[in-house]
Amino acid sequence: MPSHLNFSQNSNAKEYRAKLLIHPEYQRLRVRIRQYRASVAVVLLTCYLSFLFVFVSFPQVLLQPVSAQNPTPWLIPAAIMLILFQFLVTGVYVKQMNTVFDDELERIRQDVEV
Amino acid sequence: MSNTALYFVLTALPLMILMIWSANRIRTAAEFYAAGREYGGLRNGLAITGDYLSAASLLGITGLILFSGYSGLLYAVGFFSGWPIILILLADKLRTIGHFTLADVLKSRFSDPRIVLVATLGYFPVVVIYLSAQLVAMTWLLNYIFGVKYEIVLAGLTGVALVTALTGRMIFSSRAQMIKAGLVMTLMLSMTLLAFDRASSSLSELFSIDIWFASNPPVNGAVSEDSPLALFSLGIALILGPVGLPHVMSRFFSVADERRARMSVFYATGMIGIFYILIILLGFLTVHLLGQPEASVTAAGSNLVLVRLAELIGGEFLAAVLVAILVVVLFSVMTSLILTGSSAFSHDWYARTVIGGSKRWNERHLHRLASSVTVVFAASLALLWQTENVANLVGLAFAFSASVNVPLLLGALYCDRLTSAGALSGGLAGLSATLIAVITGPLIWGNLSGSGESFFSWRHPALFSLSVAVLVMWFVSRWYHPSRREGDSDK
Repeated sequence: MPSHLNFSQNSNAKEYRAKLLIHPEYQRLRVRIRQYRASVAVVLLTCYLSFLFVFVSFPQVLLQPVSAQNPTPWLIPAAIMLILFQFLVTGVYVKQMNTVFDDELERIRQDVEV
Repeated sequence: MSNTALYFVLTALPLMILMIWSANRIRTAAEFYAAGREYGGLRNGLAITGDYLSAASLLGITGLILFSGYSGLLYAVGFFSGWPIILILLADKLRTIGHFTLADVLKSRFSDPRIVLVATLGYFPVVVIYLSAQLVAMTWLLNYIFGVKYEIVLAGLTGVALVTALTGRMIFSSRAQMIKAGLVMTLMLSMTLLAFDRASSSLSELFSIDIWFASNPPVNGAVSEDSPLALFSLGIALILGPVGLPHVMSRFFSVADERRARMSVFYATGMIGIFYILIILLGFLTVHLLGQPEASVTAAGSNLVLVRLAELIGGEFLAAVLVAILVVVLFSVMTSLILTGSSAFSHDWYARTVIGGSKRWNERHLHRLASSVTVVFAASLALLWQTENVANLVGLAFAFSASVNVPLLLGALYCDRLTSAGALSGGLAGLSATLIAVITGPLIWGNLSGSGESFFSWRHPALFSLSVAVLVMWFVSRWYHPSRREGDSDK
């Protein structure tokens, strides 16, 4: 459980939760997080699905050699780059969640507690 | 005893003892979560990697790259790509709402307990097929070492699996998983370097399309034996399948807070990425070093290609060490599959969903029964599928997961309009569609009839069965509203 939703049943906690939930900044932040998450998921799925589409429909494109000197088909760098790109996106996502959004959440929480 | 068998025993025995010794028998979920509390992101990430690394993909994909080249690559990319999706679509969301299993999520969202039953039934084929893939791989590896017939090794392994099923639960600790991850990665890295040295080709020659096509000449211009739609269907199963696996999430929740949980998934993503890139490299190194598949065709199908490579570059010693490590990895996956799979049935569904007063069975007996049935089914399939590629079998398990549990889980979490009736009928429709497609498909009908012909031509039906599930869910939720009295969806 994240700390901002981890409430016991006592009335203080309930009151705190109610305050937090109606806090306008908290509501805005939740929408932002949801949008951010959705956009990252869309980026990842789009990349994979476009790779998959080209992979199944146009194999001859991916089997073309990279260059005249280099007989490696495009498939190999494309597959490896796709893996690395997804790793990179995961990194950006984790960084954004762990620094920007978590800090803002912490700030709102303190604001409510005061 | 041959040298290979001796090296094998000398490596496998201490490893096995180490794994079992460090697997402190954790009895309750609370203890399991508590055990991981002190772990930081990196260590937990390594433990997650240990859970996720699959010997079946290592053996299967390298074989597929040698034998059918093109589609092998899809497995490597697809198995990896499901992982970041889990983090973003599920991990944070589940942590926020505080439910860690599919049964919990479904119960909190829908009032109808039969939906949990459908999800539990959906787990069953996933666990059985996944388990049969482990059995096929383990049987061939032991067959390679000891030269005993496939059927006899399989019978022995089934016995061991049954004993595991009957004697109780053993969760491999995070430490054991970390050791496992470290061993497999080190071994793969050294094999890649050794093989690269042996192949003495530049990186650009390594992937050369001419050498690749020399061993896999395209048939009538088609680079894969599957039709484009069937390959697309496989791709969908590979990316969605991991989202619905029974035990994926548990270790994610075993760290103390969200930040560390996310960091551990980040580290795990990196290591799993390296794992699949190494598999691609190793696959192409086998194309170079083993050349024409005919030369290495054995009864084992394409499953022992990597072992042949180890034999070539490091002699029987390296081959035996590789087999020993892989067998230990497969064994640990086997035990956790048997136990988590059947506890989804006996604990998540029966003990917690069936109404308290009317329980007729002892939960522990039911657990044993469920795990024994799982083992028997998996062993029969392993007998039928002895020449199938194991990565292919894992893909099939993912097809079930992607068509039953994933639509239920994502629907419950993200789709407010999904009603109880929609979830129930959609889940059932997805399950029946997958079952029918698989039973009448090449892997069961084709194998049994001997001619290889089948009614349903795709080996991986996810695209078909997932569409059926989603359409039924949408249609029933939209048009079927028996009475609104019960507050039919949200609690």
